[in-house]
Amino acid sequence: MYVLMLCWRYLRTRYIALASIISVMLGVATMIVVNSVMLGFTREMENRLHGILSDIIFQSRSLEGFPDAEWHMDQIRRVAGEDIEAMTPTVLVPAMVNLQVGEQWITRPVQLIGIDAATQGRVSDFGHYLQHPENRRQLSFELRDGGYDVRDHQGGPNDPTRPEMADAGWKYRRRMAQLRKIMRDIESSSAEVQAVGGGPAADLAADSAPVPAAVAGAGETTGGPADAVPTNPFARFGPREEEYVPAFDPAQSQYTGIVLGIGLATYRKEGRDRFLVLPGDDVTVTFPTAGSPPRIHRDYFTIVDFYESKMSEYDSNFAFVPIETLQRLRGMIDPSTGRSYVNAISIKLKPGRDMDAVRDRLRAAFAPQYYSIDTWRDNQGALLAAVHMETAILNVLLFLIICVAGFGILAIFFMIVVEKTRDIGILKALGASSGGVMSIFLGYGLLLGLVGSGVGLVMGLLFVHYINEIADILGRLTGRPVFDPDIYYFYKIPAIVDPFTVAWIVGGAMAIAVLAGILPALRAARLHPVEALRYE
Amino acid sequence: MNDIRAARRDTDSGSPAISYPAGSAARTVLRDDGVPDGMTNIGLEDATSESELHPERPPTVPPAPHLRRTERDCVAAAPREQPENALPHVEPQLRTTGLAKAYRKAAVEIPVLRGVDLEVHPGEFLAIVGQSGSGKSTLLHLLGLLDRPDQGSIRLAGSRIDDLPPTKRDHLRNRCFGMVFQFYHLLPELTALENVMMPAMIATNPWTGFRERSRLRRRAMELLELMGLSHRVRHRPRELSGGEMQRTAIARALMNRPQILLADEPTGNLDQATGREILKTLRTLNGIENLTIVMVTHDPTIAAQADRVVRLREGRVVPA
Repeated sequence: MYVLMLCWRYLRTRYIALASIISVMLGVATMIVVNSVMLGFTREMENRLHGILSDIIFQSRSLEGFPDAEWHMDQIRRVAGEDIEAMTPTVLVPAMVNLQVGEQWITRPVQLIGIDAATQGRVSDFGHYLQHPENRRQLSFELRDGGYDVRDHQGGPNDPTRPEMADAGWKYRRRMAQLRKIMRDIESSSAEVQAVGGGPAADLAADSAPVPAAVAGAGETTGGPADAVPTNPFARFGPREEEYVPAFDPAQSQYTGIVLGIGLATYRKEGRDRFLVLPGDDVTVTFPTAGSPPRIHRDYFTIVDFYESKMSEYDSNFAFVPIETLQRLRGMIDPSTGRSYVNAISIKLKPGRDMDAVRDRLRAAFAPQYYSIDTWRDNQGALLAAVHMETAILNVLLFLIICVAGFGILAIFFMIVVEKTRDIGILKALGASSGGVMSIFLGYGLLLGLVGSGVGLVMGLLFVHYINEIADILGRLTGRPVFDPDIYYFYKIPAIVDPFTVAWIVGGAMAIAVLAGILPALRAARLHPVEALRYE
Repeated sequence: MNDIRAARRDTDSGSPAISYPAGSAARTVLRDDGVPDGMTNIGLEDATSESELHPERPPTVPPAPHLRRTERDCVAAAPREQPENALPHVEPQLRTTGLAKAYRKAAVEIPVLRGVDLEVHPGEFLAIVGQSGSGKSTLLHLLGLLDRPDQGSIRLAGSRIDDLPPTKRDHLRNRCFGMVFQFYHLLPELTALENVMMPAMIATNPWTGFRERSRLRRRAMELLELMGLSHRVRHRPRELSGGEMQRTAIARALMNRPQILLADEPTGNLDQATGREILKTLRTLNGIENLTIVMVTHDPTIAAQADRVVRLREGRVVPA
C-alpha cells in the first residue's frame, strides 16, 4: 500500500525523472514508427509481388521451354491437383522494345512474356494493374476505342491525373497515322530528306542496323502482321522507304497487341507521369527465337494497355504479348505435330494451402535438371530478406537507444536513492521491510517505464496515423519532399501497426526501466536504518 | 509495581495536559477493544487495575479484525517462553541484560554500550539521561530493533526479540514499538495525515489497505485531532512548525497502537515552551492511556518529568 503511494508521490514530485521518461518515450515512439513503416513497406511489397507473381512458377531451365503445356499441366494436377486453383502457361523471353518518340527511337530491355489472355488473370492480380476498365475485367489484346484511366485507379484522390491518357485508343492511333502520312508525303517530296530516310519505318530500319543483317533476315520465320520486315539481307543498303512502309493502313488496323509496363512508356517529372508513347502507338520488339543457336527476330506490336503494379522493377521490365503469337514468332510450335512449347506454367493455389509443401511435391515429381519450381517468395527472396534485415538492424539500433535511456534511469535513480536515504531510514524505523523499500524503487522504475512507454505508445501511434500529413508538413518546411514517390515504390508512406510488435516494444521498454531500477533499489534496501536516519 | 501505579493514579487525578472531550470517548480512540494494549499477556492483575481505574467504561463494539490483529500479531511475533517454574512476580515489559554495542571506524572499535541492564515496566514513563556520546540513542535504537546488539539480549514480555529474523523484527517495529525522533523524521512528500497513516499502510497489503482506507483515515484523523492538529491535516511537513511536526510524529507513532513508545530527544529541537507541550502530551498518553514510554534526553529538567530516570555514562547504567 505505502509502496504504491510513495511510488506515485515520487513520480509526481521528482521532475528530474521526467528526463528519463522522455528518453523512454522517444525510444518507444521511434521504434513503433519505424516498425510500422517497415512493416507497411514489407507488407505492401509482398502484396504487390504476390499480386504480380503467381504462387508457384513451374519453369523450364532452357529458353526453348518444354513441349505440350497441356500434358505438363495434367501431370501437375496429378501431383497436387487438390491444392491448385488455376494454371496458365506462359512464355518468357528476354527482349528489346523500341519506342518511337518524335523522331527518335528509344530502346529498352524487357522481359517479354507471352500470356494467355483468358487465364492469366486467374493466377495473379495481373488484370488489376491495367489501365482500361474493360481490360481489368477481361484482358483483350485488341486496342480499345478510348476510355483509358485518366485518374490512377490504384492511387488516392490527391494524386496527379494523367490527362494524356484521355486521348489514348483508336482515335489517337488514327490521328497519329494521319500525321505520319502527311509527314511522309512532305518528306518524299524532298530529295534531301529521302536520302536520309523518313517516316517511322525508316527510322526503325536505322535502329536495327547494329543487328547483323544476315541474322535479321534469317530470323524471318512465319508470316503475320510483321511480314513487312525485310527478308533481303542487304536491305539496309538498298532504297529503304518502299520496303519498310507497313503493308497495311495503320489508321484502320493494328498489329498484335502488347501490354507495356508503364515504366517503359513514361518518365517522372515534378511528381507526375509523362508519357513517351500511348496505347495506340506501335513499337517493335526484338527477341531471340527458339532453337539452337537462337536467332534474332523483330516484329511490330501495337500498345493496347499499360501495366502498372507500382513496383518499378516490374513496371519498367515487363511487356506482355499473346502467347500464341509469341510461340509462332519464336518457332515454338512443332510444325509436324502442332504441339506448342512453353517456358513456364504459373500456378495459383487455393487459399490457405501450403505453398512450400506443394512446391516440394512438384520438385520431387519433375526432373530437377529440366525444371525449376519455385514459389514467388523463393524468387523474390533476396529482396524480402533485405527488407527484413533492414528492419532487424534498425530495431537493434533503436533498442540500444532505449538501453541508453535505461542507463539514464539508473543514474537518476541512484541520485534519488541518495536523496531519499533519510526517508528510507524512516520507513524502516516504521517497520517497512527491506523488500518493501526495494519494491518502492522497482515500482518507481516500472511506473516510469509505464508512463514513458505509454506516452511513447500514444505518440508513436499518432505519428503513424498521421505519417503522410507529417511528411507533407516536413517537406513543406524543409523545402524538399521527405517521401518522394519518384524514388520509392509508393505514393504514400505505407504503415501497418502490428499489435504484437507494439506489445513487445512496450514490454521491452518497461523491462529495461525496471532493470535499471534494480541496482538503486538494492542499494536502498541494504541501507542500515540507523545510518540512514543519521544521514543529513 | 505498586508505587508506579500509585504515581500513575496521581497523574490521572491531576489535570491532564490534553483535555479530552468526554473521558471515555477519547479513550476509545486509542483503545477501542476494551483490552489494554500490551497488557494482554502480562497478567490478570493489570486487567483488574484497568477496570478499577475506569469502572465507567462503556461496553465497546469489537474492533475490526485488521485493527485487532495488531495485538494478536505482537503476541505471535514474540512467542512467550514459559519458564519452568513460573514465579509469581510480574515480568518486566522490556528487559535488557548485558547489552553491548561497538561501532567500527576504520580498524578501531569504539565501544558505545558496555553491558546495559535495564528493566522497563508496563505503563512506566522512563527517562534515560546521559551526556552526548554516552550511548543513550544507541540503546534506544537497540530497543526499537533498528540495530542488533553485539552482546546481551533484549526481552519483550519475557521472550527474546533481539535475535529474531528480519521479517519478525520489521513486524515488531511496526506493531509493538512507536518511535519519535528529535528531527521528527516525517516523509516530506506526504501530508500530515498520510504520514500518520504510514505505519498502518506498511502493516496492510495493498488490497486490504485499499478496502480499509476510510477506517485508517478515520483513525489517523482522530489521532491528529487528539494532538490538536485537525487544521493541519492536509499540510506537508515543511508547512508545519516544529511542535506541529513533532505532534504529527507522535500521532504516527501511535497509529498502530504500540505497546511501547520510544522517544529519542523528542524536545531536543524545539524551544522550551513547545518542548514542554510535547512533554505534556507524552505524560498524558502515559497517564491516561497507560502507554509505556522510554524517552532519551540529555536535559535533566525534562527527565525529571518521568516516573523513573536511568543515567547512562560511558555505556553503563549508573545510579541516578
